[in-house]
Amino acid sequence: MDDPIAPAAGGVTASEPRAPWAAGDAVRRSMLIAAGLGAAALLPLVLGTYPIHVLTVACYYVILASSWNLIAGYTGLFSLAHHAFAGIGAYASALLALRAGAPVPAAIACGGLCACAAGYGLGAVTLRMRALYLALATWAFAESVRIVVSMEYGVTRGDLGLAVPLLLPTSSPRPYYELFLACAAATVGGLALLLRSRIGYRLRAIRDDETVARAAGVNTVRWKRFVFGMSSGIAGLAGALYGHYIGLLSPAAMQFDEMALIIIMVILGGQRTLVGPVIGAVVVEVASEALRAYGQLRMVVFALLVIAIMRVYPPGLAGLGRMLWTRLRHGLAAGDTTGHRARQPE
Amino acid sequence: MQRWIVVVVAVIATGAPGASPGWGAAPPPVVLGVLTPLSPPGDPAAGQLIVQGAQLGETYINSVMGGVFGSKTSCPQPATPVRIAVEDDSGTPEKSVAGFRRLVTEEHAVGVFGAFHSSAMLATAPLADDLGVPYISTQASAADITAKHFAAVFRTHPVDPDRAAAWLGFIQAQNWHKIALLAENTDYGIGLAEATKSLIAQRKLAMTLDAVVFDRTSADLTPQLLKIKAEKPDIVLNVGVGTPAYLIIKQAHDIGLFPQTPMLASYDFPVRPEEYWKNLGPTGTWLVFISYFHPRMALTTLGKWASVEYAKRFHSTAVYSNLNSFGDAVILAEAMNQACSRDPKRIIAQLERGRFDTWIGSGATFPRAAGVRWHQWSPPLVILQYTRPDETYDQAPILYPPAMKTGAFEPAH
Amino acid sequence: MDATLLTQYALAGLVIGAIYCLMAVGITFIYSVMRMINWAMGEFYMIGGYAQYLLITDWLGPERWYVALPLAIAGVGVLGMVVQRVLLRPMFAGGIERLDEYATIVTISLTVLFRNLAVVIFGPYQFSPRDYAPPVQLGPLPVNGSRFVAFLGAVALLGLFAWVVRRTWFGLAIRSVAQNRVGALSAGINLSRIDMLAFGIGVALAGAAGALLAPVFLVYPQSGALSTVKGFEIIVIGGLGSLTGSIVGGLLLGLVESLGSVLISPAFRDVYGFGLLVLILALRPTGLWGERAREA
Repeated sequence: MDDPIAPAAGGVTASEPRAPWAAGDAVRRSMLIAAGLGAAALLPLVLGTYPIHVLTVACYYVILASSWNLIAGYTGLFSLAHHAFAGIGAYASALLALRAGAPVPAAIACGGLCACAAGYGLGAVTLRMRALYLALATWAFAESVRIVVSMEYGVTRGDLGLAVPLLLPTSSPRPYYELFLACAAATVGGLALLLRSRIGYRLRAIRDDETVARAAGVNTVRWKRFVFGMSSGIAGLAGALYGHYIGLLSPAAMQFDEMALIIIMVILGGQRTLVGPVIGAVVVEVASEALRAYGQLRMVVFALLVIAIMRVYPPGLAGLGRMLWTRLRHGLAAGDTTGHRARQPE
Repeated sequence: MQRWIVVVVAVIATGAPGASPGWGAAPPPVVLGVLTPLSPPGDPAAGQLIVQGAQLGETYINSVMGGVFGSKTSCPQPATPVRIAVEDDSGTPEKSVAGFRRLVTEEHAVGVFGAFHSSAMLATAPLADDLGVPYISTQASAADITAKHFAAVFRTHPVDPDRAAAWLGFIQAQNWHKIALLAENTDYGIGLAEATKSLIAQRKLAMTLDAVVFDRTSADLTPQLLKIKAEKPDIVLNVGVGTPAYLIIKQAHDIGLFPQTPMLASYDFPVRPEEYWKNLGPTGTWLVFISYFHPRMALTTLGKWASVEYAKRFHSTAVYSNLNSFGDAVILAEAMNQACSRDPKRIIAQLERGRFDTWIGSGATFPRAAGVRWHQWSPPLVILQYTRPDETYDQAPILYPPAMKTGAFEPAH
Repeated sequence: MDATLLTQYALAGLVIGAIYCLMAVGITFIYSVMRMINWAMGEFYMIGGYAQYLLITDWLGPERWYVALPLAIAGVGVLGMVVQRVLLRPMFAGGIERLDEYATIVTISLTVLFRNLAVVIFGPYQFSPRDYAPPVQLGPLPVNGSRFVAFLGAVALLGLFAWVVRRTWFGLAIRSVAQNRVGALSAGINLSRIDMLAFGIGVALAGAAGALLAPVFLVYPQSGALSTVKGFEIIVIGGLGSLTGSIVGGLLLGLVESLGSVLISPAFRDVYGFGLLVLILALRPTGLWGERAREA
């Protein structure tokens, strides 16, 4: 579903048909993105604090889902410890701020670094494992981290919850929303750049066939560790930011359900696309808030959707949206340019 | 699950503006927020009971008190109905913060109650301070909730030191010395273990306490229980909540620790008879447990109204969660009447100043006291024992405190 | 250390270890045939528990638990075969890019699905059928009757399973598929039927553990989570794809947990398994009996 080593420039979402007007399209697309971001940034002017809080949390999940998509979707390392790295970042940052009195922004940076280091280490240990063992080993790592955090309550206060100083001198979600939105945009933008670069092609080469990639001169060992450290670092930063927004950490956020939620978001939105995790995270978070009254039935529906998507339509919501968009445009194009474009082979 | 969907729908239906008869063009209702667990990982069973209690509170305020303000009070404002708005906190910090925010900003709640999980409430407490809206803990018991002296946070539920004092008093009265305590690794378990330990030290009691903490997700507690059995304690304190509480009883029974050695459970889960006896069968006989309510306790007029109305509306006996949630709603209404204001900040000030009638006592106060007693009012605790299978808690004898005693501890036979 | 106490611990560990084995054997059996890990194993355990509870309390009556057991196990097996037929068979029918990834995502979604479905249908409450039998004295250790039944049941099922795999034609077919799918296909074995049966049998073992343990550990929507943890620990310790490894690993895990809680601290009971797991991964990455090819 995505082409292996495509020529540089342009082809991040590789299944996008490339028409002659692609250059103009790229400009139009970036204008569209800028306009969308601008509109999103202005949302606090029209929405109350509760919807803004929900969107802030959605931005947090956008970061987690996108960074997991980098490691599992693009690179093919099916890690099941992503939520644990968010937790490591959050706890490291909180403990630094609380016990060592570090200023919160510095603590958050350190939290990200800790998660990055842990991820790099886990990547190094699991380097030679095949997919299934990798999943098992990362799962075992995540479970151990959770149990240690909840049992070492002398340090982490376990399920009592660790009260964390806030990042900004307010608990109003508006400024946090802008911050999280900026971070989510930066994450997705950064990933887009990374994936367009040579590194991106190396990572996808590893996913497609590690042996071939190695034969083609890709230092798979180095890039696998890199991508582990990088995506874990992003997750750690997100976790730390989130902790200093909510103001309380508890090991409940490190349960496997959280990882399942990330997977659901990515698959629902569309794996191996940049917009997929964004759509998935926002849709799942907003829908589960809006459908509160239906309780656990929401999760049943989400799980069924994911299974259905895996079974019959792997491109997910992002693929569906793109298909509809293409249809729509083609329909319009066919209407007003007397079939000029319809003749072009796509 | 379906049941609670029905409850939520019912709440929405009965709480809809204008649904209460006879209000006509009355002023817009005052909203009281209920923030309680209605889905896992929280404890939805408890949340449901709290919502029922809040519904009773709404009815009581609107029918018996005639709403807030009005001619029955000395306030100039016209009588105003109240309405409750329910929000699910799932027992997690994040959902709790979101729910509180929604109640205050979307529903314009002037006060919130119903908290059950301490970590959820602790996360939300600073937000309550920020928004300046009173937040009453109905059943969240961690010391920090009041010990951190939040300006807007209050509690009407016993704290760990109350519980520790009750069971150590009982143990002392039985002349037991060797205590084993099995606690889950949650706010509740650890908090209670620490409170018990420090009270023994503080009062210099002639007791030894061996506390074992276990992971809440463990299903097999046999090794821990075997270790406790080998030490031959006089009593085992069971500090599990939900599943672990049952597992401790069952597995202690299997290895011959209970009922040979008495066991005291830290909260009132045995009062839900269908669940308790269905899960344990005759194994559950001889358990001693803390309860916050027993029909032999003298209820106030308020409490009597609530238990009669509860039986009418829900066709079963009211339990503590119902009554305490009911009480919190009424306390907020009383504070509004005393302050003649629906401004949350004035309600907070009045809660600190005033005296309030509750379901179990009159003259509850929330002073700015030291430590965990800040904004804290503790209802009384009793210790009960089941002495035959399928007993209901209103038949069980009260062993402690001595003032209410209706029976003596019976060893298993 | 008191010798009686130590024996008690060792015995308790072995009893629980035998039951862990059922889960691990189920996981490793599905893996060796279909080359996938079923992450929803614990949920089949949970379903087995609910099935047993409902059969006993609503239908057969508590004294006929031994009739309910095979029914619950078979029910879970059939459910497993349906899941395999509808969701997993397409894995081998082409069109799906990465089998292991597909299987992981689908089975993880199944855990979410079943767990929440249980909450929707039965509520978040815990249920428990009455004990199957009165307590038994096992040497110095008093054992709960149901736990003893579960232990005997686990041993019997493992024996039956080993006999089927080692001694019957069906077992031969399965072993050949596990060794070489293409080879088995060319020998005229109906692969999709073997896959379906293998998946059904694998999850039925988990369902059996759930049904056997229903009165011991209570039945509730999350009850499968812990047994998944134990099952995975065992297969990593014992080695993926090895039945001997699963059995030895299960008994070892039961012992380590039990002795660890008495010799070190009972608080960290569930961490000892992970400790053992990390130790084995570090010293012997293929597990004790694992296949050689763990590396890519």
